[in-house]
Amino acid sequence: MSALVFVLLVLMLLSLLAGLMRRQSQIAGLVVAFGLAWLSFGMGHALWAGTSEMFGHTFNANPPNHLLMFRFELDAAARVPVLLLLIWGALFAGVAAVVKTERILYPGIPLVVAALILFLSSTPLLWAPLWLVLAAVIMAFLAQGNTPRPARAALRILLMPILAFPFFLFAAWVFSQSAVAAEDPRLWNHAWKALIIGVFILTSPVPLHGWITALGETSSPFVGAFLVGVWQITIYAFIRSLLFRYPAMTGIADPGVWLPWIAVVQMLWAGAAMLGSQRLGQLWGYVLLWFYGAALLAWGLTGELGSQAMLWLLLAHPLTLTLAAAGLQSLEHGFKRTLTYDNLHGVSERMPFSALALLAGGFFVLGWPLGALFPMRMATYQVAAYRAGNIFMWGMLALMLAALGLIRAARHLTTPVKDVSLARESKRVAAILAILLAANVLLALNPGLLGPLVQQLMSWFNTL
Amino acid sequence: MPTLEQFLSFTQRLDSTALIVPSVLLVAVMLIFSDWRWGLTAFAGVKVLAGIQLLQLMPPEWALQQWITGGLVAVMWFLAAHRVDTVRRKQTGVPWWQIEWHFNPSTWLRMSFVLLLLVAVYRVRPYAPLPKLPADMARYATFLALSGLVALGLGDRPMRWGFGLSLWLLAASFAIHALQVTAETVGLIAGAELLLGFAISYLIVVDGARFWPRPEEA
Repeated sequence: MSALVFVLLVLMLLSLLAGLMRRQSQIAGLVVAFGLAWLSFGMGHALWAGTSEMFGHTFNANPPNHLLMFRFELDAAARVPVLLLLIWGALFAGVAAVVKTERILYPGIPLVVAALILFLSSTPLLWAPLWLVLAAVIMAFLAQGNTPRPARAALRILLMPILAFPFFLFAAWVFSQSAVAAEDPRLWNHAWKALIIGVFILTSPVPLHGWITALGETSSPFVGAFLVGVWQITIYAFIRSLLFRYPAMTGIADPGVWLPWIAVVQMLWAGAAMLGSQRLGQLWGYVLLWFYGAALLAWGLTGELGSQAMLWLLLAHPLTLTLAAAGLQSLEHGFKRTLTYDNLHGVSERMPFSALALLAGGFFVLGWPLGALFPMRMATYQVAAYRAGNIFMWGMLALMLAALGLIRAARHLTTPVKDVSLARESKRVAAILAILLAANVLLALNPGLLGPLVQQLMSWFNTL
Repeated sequence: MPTLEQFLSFTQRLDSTALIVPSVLLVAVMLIFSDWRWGLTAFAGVKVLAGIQLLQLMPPEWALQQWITGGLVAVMWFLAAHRVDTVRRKQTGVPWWQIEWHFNPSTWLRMSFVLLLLVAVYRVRPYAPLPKLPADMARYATFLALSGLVALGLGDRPMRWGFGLSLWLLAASFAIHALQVTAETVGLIAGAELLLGFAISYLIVVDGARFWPRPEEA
């Protein structure tokens, strides 16, 4: 059995187990967290030891796995995003189990991770987006949750892979017909454009960003943060593979030029909407959009040489996102009404850790000092100031708008208590929030903590 | 009941250009009416007509796949929408035969958008020069793609999004199958459409359940 089949089977099993433990959702979450942590440990061990085996199963199976017209293999470059996805899944399942969230998250996490692994490990590369459609379908189920509610977020998740899919198919055909394409250079040109349009759609530029904000508004905070984060990892790895496979793409439209603009428009849009938000869920959706744009900005500005920076960022992201998501989830639990700004009286008095976690998480996403993302955000802003003055200026405007939006939310969160029956947060939740806050501070003060792991990941990531 | 061979020989005699007009009208019905019966009937009609059009690009056995996929998706959506409607009628005490559909302001709004699209398409004749695709079919595919995108802008109800994304994939079928007809490409597009159909049918139920007075009883 290849390592890929082994990982997929374990993920299916975890999902099944979590699904069967419907009445003990916390235990289900812990089981999933433990299972994913175990898989990440196995893969991490292989990384440190420099072997091509994981728990006795080889990564490069001979013969490789085939299904229909696809070939599946966990090659070195695919192993990096897979390890990141497993780490994210473990952390989100673990924290969500402690804070308590929708029970669909626990069986959903392994399934989403499995579908994304299938996508990342499949070739031909330009046909692989079919598996992204499958992943989006599972993500849509997760976004919809287990209660009747508007399907806005779920529908919008389906949009990007389905819109982009035909462009990749067209490009795949042209690239496989070099003789035909040589006769008609326009066809070749169309194929490159189709490829770039496909990539462009997958990066969720405004106005295709709606799934992120809808997730923040309608899904549980953990679901929103998890789905946005894993989508970003997957798309980053996929586009990077495309750039390696088709380097001429950069000659047609350099991602170093258009990615920062996509990012800065997303950040500006998010910043302006954060300033005008009326509900915490709405604010959370735009925080996620800002976060998504900021990561694209870091990638676009640092370019391919910045893989190391991106890996560091993708490893540090879940610490900040789980902090803010846990804070918001705890507020939603304790505060039985809709979390509109007008209703937030006394939240910071009765649930101080939750309010602090949400605000601190939000500011940490922006790159505020003492947050885990501070070093990398600072570096991104510096690179922008040095290399792209316009981007820097718009980025700073987006940062200012977002900060003002969070300050506005803070003002509402710190109003005095009106309802004396307002519940207090549990000690368990306060403890986990304190741990996450401490972890953020620790990473901000010692960014080098992730250095060795990032270095090891780079050795896999740069293997052609 | 004609056999498959008889049906295929009959469809091959049809003038495919003449099928474009009814197909356009059916697409308009899909986008305008919010009643699922009208929408699904029009969807099935568009799929059948598109399958006949695709006979120009591929052998009948592959064009048949368009009908099979469309049929499977339509059945999934029918079952989902039927369940939502049946439970709601049962819980609100509305008999199955009572028509509840009205021309409300949002229907007028959708109608005006679709009319705008039809007028724009008629006047401008937008045409994406898709390689190896005959001009009339390229126009038709462009119309399908545009209609799909318009459908996505007409609200957040699952079935209409399903129609929109399905029209997009249908337009893509014309563009891709004009280039190559292999089991792989036919399977890839059909696979994406079936996945979409599966997701939308689930979303029809969970989105529609909001309108049940007592969802816990269902």
